[in-house]
Amino acid sequence: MGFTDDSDNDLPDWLSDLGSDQGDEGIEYGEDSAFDPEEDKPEWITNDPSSGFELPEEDEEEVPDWLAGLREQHSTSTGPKTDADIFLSDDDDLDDQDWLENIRDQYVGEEGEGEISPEEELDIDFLDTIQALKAEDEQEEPPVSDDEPTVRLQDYFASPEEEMPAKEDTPDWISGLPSMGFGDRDADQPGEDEAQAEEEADTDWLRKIRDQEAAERGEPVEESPGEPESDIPEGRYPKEQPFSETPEVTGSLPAWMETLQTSGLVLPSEPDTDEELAGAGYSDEEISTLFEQDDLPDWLGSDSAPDTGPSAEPSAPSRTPEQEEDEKPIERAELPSWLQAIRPVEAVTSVAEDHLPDEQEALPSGEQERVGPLSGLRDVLPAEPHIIHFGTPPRAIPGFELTEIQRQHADLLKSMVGTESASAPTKRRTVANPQQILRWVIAILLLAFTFAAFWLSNSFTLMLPKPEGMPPENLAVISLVNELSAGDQVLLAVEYQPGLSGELEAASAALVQHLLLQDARIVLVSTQPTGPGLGDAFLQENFKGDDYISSRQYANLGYVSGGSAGLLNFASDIRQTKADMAWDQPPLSDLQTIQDFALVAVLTEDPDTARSWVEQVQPLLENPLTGQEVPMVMVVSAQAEPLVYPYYYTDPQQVAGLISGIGGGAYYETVTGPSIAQHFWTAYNVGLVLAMIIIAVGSIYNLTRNSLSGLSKGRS
Amino acid sequence: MKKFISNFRAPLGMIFAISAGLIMLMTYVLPLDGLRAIILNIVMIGAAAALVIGVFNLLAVHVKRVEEDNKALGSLVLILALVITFVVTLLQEYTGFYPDWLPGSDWLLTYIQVPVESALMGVMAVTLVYAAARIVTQRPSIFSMIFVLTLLVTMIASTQFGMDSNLGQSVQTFISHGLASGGARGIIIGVALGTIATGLRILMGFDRPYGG
Amino acid sequence: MTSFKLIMIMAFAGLMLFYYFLGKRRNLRHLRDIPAFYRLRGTVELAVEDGTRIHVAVGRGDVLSPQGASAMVGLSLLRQIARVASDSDHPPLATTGDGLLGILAQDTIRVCFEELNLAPNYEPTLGRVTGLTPFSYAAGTMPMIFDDAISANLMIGSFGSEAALITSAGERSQTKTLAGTDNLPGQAILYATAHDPLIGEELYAGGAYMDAGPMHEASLHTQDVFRWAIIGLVIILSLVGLIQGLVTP
Repeated sequence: MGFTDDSDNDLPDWLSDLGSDQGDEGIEYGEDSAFDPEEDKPEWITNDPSSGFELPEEDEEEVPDWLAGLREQHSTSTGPKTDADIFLSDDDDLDDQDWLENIRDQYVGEEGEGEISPEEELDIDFLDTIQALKAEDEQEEPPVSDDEPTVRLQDYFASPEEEMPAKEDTPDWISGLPSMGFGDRDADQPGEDEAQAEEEADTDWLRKIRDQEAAERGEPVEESPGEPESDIPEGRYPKEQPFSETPEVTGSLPAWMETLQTSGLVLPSEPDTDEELAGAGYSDEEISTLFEQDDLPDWLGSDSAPDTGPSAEPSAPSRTPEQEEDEKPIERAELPSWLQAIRPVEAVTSVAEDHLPDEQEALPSGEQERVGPLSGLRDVLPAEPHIIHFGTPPRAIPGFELTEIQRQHADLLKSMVGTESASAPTKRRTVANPQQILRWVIAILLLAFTFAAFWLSNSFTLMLPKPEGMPPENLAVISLVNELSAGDQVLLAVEYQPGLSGELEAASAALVQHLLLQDARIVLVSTQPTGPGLGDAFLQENFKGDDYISSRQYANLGYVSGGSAGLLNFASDIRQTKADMAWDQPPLSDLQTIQDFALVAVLTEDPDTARSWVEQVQPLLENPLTGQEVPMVMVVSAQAEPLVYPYYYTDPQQVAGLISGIGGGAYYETVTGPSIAQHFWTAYNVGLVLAMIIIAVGSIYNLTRNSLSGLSKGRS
Repeated sequence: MKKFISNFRAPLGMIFAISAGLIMLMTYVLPLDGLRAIILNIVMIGAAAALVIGVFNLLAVHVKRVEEDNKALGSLVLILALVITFVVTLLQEYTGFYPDWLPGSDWLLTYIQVPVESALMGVMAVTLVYAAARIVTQRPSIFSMIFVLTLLVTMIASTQFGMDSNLGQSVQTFISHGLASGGARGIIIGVALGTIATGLRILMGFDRPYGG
Repeated sequence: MTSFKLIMIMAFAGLMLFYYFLGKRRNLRHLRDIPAFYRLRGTVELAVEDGTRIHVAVGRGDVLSPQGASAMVGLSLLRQIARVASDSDHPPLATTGDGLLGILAQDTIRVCFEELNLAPNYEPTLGRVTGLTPFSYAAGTMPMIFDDAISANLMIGSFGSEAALITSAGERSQTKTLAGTDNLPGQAILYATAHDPLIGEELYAGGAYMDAGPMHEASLHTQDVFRWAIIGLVIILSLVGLIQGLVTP
């Protein structure tokens, strides 16, 4: 359902968890941690009896050649065995033989001594049949089937008496499969000594591994399985057909089959430790990659079958693909991930702890289940999460075109399934009623008390705050306005939203009144679409008694688009906001740059807007010729005060004065006379106290209820 | 041709976006005021055009709602209000024959938009009071307790009583100019770093919010 | 000063690239837990399975201002969500309070539909401008939360105090709300009203937690480096100032 550009996400979680060592530390194999193939080799391949690993019987068919070779060596040391014996550990071999013989004796006793059982008859018949078929083969040269079951059947049905069949009893074509470990080992061998040397070479690497591990564990180096074999008389057990690149013509088979046998069904030499890989020119990273592919399950890794590498086998032009498939050697004796996953936990843990302790510690613990019956448990398979993978979906297939007939069929199918995939109509969501009721109660309380305060304003009015408590930032604004001369231009930036006009107009009314008292010229500007209209309305509604306002002698530069970028552009060149003609006439004729203003006042409720003015405009307020700086003051909402205050508090000041909220306006009105803030002051205080009471009571109630419910839960 | 354009739309968009961003960045750090002015002028016009596009998008959405659902009364009102405001403002600002006795754009702003948005502000005040009262239940933690206590103390300090008392002023100064300002600075530094990172990701082409 | 700015920007970009390539070589996914994003993933998955719609509010951050960065994060998350939810019965719906952002939101959704070979199903109204002032934006968004079978609200962008109205609508319609803004008063309001608020710069970590690419993680690591450098600088300069104040009579 989902898509991802992250390869890790492509794997299911359980697989990626298994592969976390390979995925996360995969590079470290190649770079940091010096990948050690000996350590990664599973215990069962090192013949460590403590591993206790047993190959399941079902996997017999998948046993690779090299493992068959191992089995063969094993059989040479203990005598021919049935397949069941192979699965038993070395220590139990003798007991197993006794066990099998007991069964046989018991069986013979039941059936009668000297009698041939039906099964044996069947076996003999079967072998006779094979012999007959072989004779026919010699005459008719039938095609060779690589998955010929005879080999397996022969092993399977071999009785102790038949385990070492006479040379002449074994079909020649079977004897031509020496490297598979099946068939007659006493077949005519031209180079017996070489064969033995080859066999010993094959076992050397295993012996080295085992010795090395034993040495690491501090144990005495045990005898290699090959050594006891040396005590076995030569010629008792068959010798393995030596591999030679040049096919050896025995004459028992057609030439092409001879070639096939000796070149295709060879035992590939196992890459012996790191030296061979290094010699093959693989980098550490490539080695790591090879092993990672081996770690993948077959169904995942089939597309990218591991390269057998140069050491795998020589070129065999006459081999069929089936042969190649059968003989494909497993490069590393390493468990695939799916098999690792089903290994006993202790084994996995011990391996992980032994090999990668740091990585193990670094791995995060599994995500804890938070919902459902498995809540609280870790490492559980998620029911819902990870269904969807976030990431990049695959690209559309270019050049994918439908023919007309295909399109018609597709349309037909679409019309058929169209009704099935039609989505259900959306439902209007229900509203949580208890919450809604509580909201209504709070709203009614606030409205009732606030209106009551307005209604009773004639009989009950709060005094404005005492001017002695006026904060210094307010005093700074008053001082700056007092310094203005008649006719000085003041830029008034109306940067508030209509919804907050009530607070901002109350806070700034005293400032505008003070400006008008000083006969300052006002120029409006805004970066908000509604700003110019709000500024105009603010002046006209509250100061229409002033001729300067009612006759609209002030200028309105309008809306400056572009946010901060537009603000910077405006500060750089204020004349872009109006047509050139407007700048040639009063009241704008005196203005060339932004430094020509005597004061810049920003009215805003948004700290980000205030910051934009400080960052984009304030640096341009300094006249580069005179060095004089135009002061910038701000009238802000109470919510923005903590964010704007540092610009005032810093040295040098970026904001020369500050008025915040209705409180700041009220302080200012103690100087300029009552205005809007005075009008709202009583209702504002009543609403504030009521909201405070509601929050306090609600919090205490909820806190108590939480505590009581927690106590009752604890008791239960 | 269409396929050709379609194939090259994304890379071209990316090239334009990265180039414009880099040039703009350079104008801030290098003395390229003339170039910056040109770019800013283009940007301002583009932003204004985008505002108009936004209006048309708004209109399209509500027209579709009206088409699909005959009961979409709100959408119908919005469409009518938008058209009336647009026509009135156009006539009043750019023609000389709009009668004075008719309510103009100022009237619409003062008596419709400001009251409506102020009412929403009132709803928001109710919502905030309600949320503050419930926060200790919704998110029971020590931080919620601190949040509520700070809120109450600040509100007390903002009243007449708090402003007239030295204690109230000291508490207000300590919280507003000390703790709140300091915390806000810290958050703003974090936000600024995030802003720089986001901008650089776009400039380097790793983020392509323009659909490339 | 200008050269200092340039050096800082270059250093920031260089460190981002360093962490990017380092992250491609080694797994650097050491991100602290932000439960809100884990819950967001679960919410998105549930919404897709449930056949409901996800509402992504990108806010009203002006793209031409610093607030545009938070809007870009919102668009990144919109893209990630649209990639997994666009082929559901109800593809995600994006709302914005700015004309430019509206265009970008539409473009983002359109590209996701094209990537999923669903271009014919794309509708421009999936990216909507619901209002051009903060409160009108909130007022235009609130009814959609009730009407359009929305099961989750993701508010990532620049929101002021009007965010309370949107979260309130989400709470009343019993839909989950994850919200983050770069606006500080907005953050205070979201802390009290949203189900999963994102505080401070957590907003900018959204891409890293939603697998938007290794560069998002690299930029987080870079931010951490610079943050610690700034902290160290502030402490050192404060101590120097304090000592100077004590020494100077």
